[in-house]
Amino acid sequence: MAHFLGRRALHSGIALIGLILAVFFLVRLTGDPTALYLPIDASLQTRIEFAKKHGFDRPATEQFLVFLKDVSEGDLGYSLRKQRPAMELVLEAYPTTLALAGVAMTLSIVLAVIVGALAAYRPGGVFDRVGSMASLAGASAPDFWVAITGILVFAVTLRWLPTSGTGDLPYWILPIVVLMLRPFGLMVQVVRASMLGALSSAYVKTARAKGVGETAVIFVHALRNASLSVVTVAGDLTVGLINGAVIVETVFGWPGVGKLMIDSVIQRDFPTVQAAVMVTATAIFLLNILIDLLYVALDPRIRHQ
Amino acid sequence: MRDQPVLDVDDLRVEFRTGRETIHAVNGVSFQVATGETAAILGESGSGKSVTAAAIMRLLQSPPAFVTGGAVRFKGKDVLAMPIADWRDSCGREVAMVFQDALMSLNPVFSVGWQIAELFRAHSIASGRAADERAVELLDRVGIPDPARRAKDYTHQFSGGMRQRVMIAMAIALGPDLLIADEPTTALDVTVQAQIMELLEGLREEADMAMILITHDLGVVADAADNVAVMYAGRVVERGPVGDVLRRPGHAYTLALLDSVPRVQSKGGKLRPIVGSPPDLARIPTGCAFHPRCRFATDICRREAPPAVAVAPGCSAECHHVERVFNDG
Repeated sequence: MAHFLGRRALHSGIALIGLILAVFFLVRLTGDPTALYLPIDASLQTRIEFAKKHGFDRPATEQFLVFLKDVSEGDLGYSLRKQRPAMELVLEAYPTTLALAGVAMTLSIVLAVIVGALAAYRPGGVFDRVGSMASLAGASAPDFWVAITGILVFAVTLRWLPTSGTGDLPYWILPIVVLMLRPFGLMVQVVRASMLGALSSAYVKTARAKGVGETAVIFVHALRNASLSVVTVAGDLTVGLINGAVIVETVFGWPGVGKLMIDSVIQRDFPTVQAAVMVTATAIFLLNILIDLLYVALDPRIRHQ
Repeated sequence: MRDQPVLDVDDLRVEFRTGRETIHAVNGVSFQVATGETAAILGESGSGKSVTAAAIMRLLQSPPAFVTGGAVRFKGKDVLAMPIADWRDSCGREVAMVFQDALMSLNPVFSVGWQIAELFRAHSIASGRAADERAVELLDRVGIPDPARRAKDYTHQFSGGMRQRVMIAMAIALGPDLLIADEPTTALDVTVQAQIMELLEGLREEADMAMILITHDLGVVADAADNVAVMYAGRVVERGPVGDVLRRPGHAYTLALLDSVPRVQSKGGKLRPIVGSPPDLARIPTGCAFHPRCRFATDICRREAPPAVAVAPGCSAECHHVERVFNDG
């Protein structure tokens, strides 16, 4: 196990370095931040001083080496925008993203498992048809459109929910529902398909012949086998969410890492972009390890390979 | 009590309705099994023997399968008429089943000990550690070495024969009155087959169970069964005590089966394979279903379904040419 984790960490470390390289140089292709941060009538002297202060006057490769040295000392630089350490900004925004992603994913998984399992229990039945339609609609609905329509209907017209920002429960409802659409829709399809296979398997027949009740047949015998493919898809979808749900966070003004990233890119706040990428990449690396461990826990055949 | 059969299947009919056609898998099957008796159901694949077993256990998925007629009485109770939850309560406790392919029939993600102990939990007989201990005892009883350790293992860690032993341990766990073994040795190699049959027979005798042995293997039938019902195209075409039926069959199909396998005491020494292939169950031939492949067939076989004719005491065959077959065999 330690061997496995070590190898995984090594691979992820290499990937992280590649990612940082790409981000560091690509973000510098967006242009010179000096033009954005200084007043339009700033003197050449001020411009040169600004560039010098942030190291933008030096060649990109040299900037990178300085950056690496700083990172190794735990310093990810100061945000150009906020005059605060970039890491501080990211770590402030990240919990709000994680909370949103966590709630949305948990609800999606639970609902999708119930709906998918019941749909598979009577394929072609009323519940199956309604559930499949709903999941297909959810998986294919464009989230930005649903988000804006949701604000229009529930916040502007009906005035039931706030339009944007974060706070107590009402603030969470629209972002969570919009974030759930795709994961829920996709996972219902996955759960249904894998449960169809599991429920028609020979071991389910054996369980019934043993006198095991139907609830246990569905939710213990069949679901435990079907859960393997659900974990694969759920893991993939979670990666999409903890990356910062850029569109949903932007539309709802949710102060998460997705919004922070897009704002920083637009304003050429290089250190913040770099810090945000490093943090989300690390989170995804940890999530992938968690998924691997979950596989091992769920499938004894993997454990003994 | 000996006189009342444990299981009485009467004119059972099952069909599968797919969008386009109806497959007549079981077309009026009747047989009885008494306490302490082993009844074999013999037939090629597609003869309806496994569907019959699944119908008795009420394991058929409906749709597409529908039981369209007949009755199954287990210890006098009408199985097909009772609520499914009531029948499931009898399953495992009073009737148990051993399936053909133990690798597929055991759940791959639960330890075998857990799966055996589940019987005690599902029927509220024991739970927790007590159930686990009973599972270990059962593994020991079916001849699995080091049972306490092996109980924690998973299906893929067992050999084919050991897996089938696990299935048998589950089947006998609650001391059922009837054991249905559906091709219990088909997936195994020959030496292991003999061990498994020996184990099954021993356990059956010990507990004085009734056993239905579903197989296509004449050797298994000859060794283990008391009575045999030969199935073809969803009907029992011949029945009787194993010795009588296999020695001198009255049905052309049974005779053809016997002629198609090598036997030590064979007379001519020449094997005679059955020509053609089993009938399409959506289009069963008229008259006697076997007539297109039968070397005795005459006009009447094509026109009329044969009635059951007594061949010997306790033996009957549904064949128009019982006498010719009997004298030929």
